Amino acid sequence: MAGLAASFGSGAMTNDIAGLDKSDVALIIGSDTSECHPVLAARLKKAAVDGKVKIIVIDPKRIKMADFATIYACQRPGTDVAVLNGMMHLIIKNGWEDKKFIEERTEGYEALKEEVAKYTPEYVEKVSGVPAKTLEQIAELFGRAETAALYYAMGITQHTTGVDNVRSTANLQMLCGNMGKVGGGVNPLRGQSNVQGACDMGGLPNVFPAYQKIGDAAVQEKFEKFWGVKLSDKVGMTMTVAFDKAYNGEMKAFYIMGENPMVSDPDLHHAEEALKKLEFLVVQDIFLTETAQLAHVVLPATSPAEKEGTFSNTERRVQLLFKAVNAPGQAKHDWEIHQLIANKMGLNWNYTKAEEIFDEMRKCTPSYAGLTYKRLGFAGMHWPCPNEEHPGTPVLHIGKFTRGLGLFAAIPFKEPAEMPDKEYPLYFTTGRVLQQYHTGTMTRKTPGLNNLAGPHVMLSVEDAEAICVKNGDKVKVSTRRGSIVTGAFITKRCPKGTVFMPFHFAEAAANKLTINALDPIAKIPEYKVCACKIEKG
Amino acid sequence: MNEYRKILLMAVNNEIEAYEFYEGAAAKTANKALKSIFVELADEELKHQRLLESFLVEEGKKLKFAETADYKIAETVELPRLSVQMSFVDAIALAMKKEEEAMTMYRNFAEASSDPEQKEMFTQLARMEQGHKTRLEALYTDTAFVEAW
Repeated sequence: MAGLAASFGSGAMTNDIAGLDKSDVALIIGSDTSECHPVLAARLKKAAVDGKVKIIVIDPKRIKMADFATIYACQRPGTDVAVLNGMMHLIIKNGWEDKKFIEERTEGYEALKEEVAKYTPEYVEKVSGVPAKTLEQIAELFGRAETAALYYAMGITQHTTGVDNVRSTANLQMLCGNMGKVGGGVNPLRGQSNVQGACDMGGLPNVFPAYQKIGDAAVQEKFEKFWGVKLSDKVGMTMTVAFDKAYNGEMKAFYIMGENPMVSDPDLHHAEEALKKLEFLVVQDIFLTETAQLAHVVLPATSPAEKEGTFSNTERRVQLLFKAVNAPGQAKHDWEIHQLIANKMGLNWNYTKAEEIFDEMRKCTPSYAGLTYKRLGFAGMHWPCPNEEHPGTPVLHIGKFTRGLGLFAAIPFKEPAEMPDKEYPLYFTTGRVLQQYHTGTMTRKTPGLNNLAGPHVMLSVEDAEAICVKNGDKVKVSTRRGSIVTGAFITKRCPKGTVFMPFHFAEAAANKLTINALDPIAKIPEYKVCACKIEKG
Repeated sequence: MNEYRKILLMAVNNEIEAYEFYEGAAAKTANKALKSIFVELADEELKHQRLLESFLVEEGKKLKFAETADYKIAETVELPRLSVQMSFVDAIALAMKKEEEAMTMYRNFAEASSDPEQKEMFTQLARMEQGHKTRLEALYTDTAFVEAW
């Protein structure tokens, strides 16, 4: 998000899903789309099978989408900037850049051109492992396309160079004039179903709803007047920083909702220690998660099927959620729990349903101002939607970028925080599998799904042969943070030297092994690369 | 001079004024993005001026503008003060408000007029300004609702 905001002035997904089959080419980089975003992936697969869209996949693992791709390239984990710079080098060298778009709608082009001049196919091959010939084919297919879309997910962002990676995707799309048109755009696929909505509502350390800045005097005054209370003008902290402060004893209490950091946080030993040091831990969730088991108080909440509300998905489409069944036992809606606590603390909140809160929210959230439950209906609408007459905005930046001119940035390639060495000779990378969702709080309650996908580590045939293991054998995976013993899944989808592990499973938690190294701007951990070794278990 | 030409001349002069306003703003700012939007807005006003002048030249050619969707976004925004340090989005908001002002002015003239032909002319001019406003409102929607934190 920080990367796109720097390039365009705004970090949201620029295009809509409906326009997906209007592309000539779709580049998927750092997104295991069919495993993590299966609905969108199904549309992309269909577009490819129907011959509408040519797909390019660049990923360290030969993901299923590669089976639908015209070109697949395997890069070493953490070398995305080098590969994207290499593509741009070739596009400029061959005159495939969109000169009119660059001239009229961007700035900073000369600096980018100078930087990418170094990224010859031969140099990129040396750094990333992508053969020079393959890079040339990718650059030609992408550079010559009339309209090309770019899709990425956490494979781009979860790096110490996450912001650099994102800015490189924006550079590429501006260079080719693929912004502001149907079927183009930079399309970050969000990690969870309502990440977009949570951020839109101000679930971040430094903003009120609709990204209105905390500490800005006019914004502060607006919200104080609107809510009738004095508000702190101090910016909070990101979760990664908060955990460090808990570990150091500076923070005494956490209130965690719908999050299971005991499985999802990097370097889990550190996270567990931090949570155990807290004087007061409240967890609000639908099941007794690994994190809830450490809590002093657990507040039972309702599942998506038991509540009403809205989800804002990756394409900025706000969708209504309809209640299907009543909640069991003492479970209450999140807003009801908050209201009970607020009133115990002396306030007088009297909401009776989620819609009342939505209607209040849209009065102070300009991008949602025109959305009502009635208008959302069954199809939902895209923000920005500034008033009730506006139809919503499926595609952003058609006329202008938010910052006026799109800003190119010269991005040099930097290596990940921890590289393989003699002691830990393999790349370790993490991700998801289709059958499980995030930390498995919901999906792991379903035996059928557990039968389909349990804990495992994926490794190449060559790496398996080197330690004499066969499919299903126990192996010990170790990094500088710890070790896990789990079953080996030997596959040609993993290249020699790279080991992949899904992070869903508490009993073999991949995040015991990941590194807590952060992107300096976005503060996102480098879940996607560290060094490991693997032995027969 | 007949009434028709008088009204058209007034409308042309309004466009010239708007052109000079944006041209002056573009000359004053060093910010590349602001300069480019002011130049673009000045060019737009010049196009409007030429379009209206064509009605002066071609006798009997009647003003006719298609009705565009009016999402009334300008109406929800306060007029920003022109400055060389203003934000990009404020520059668009300012232009959008100016089109709204022009639209309202012509609408008021149309309402006040009892002559059917004169009324129709002002209605068409209001429609033209509404079209400009709608275009700027689309740009405003593209730029005003930022996701940045």
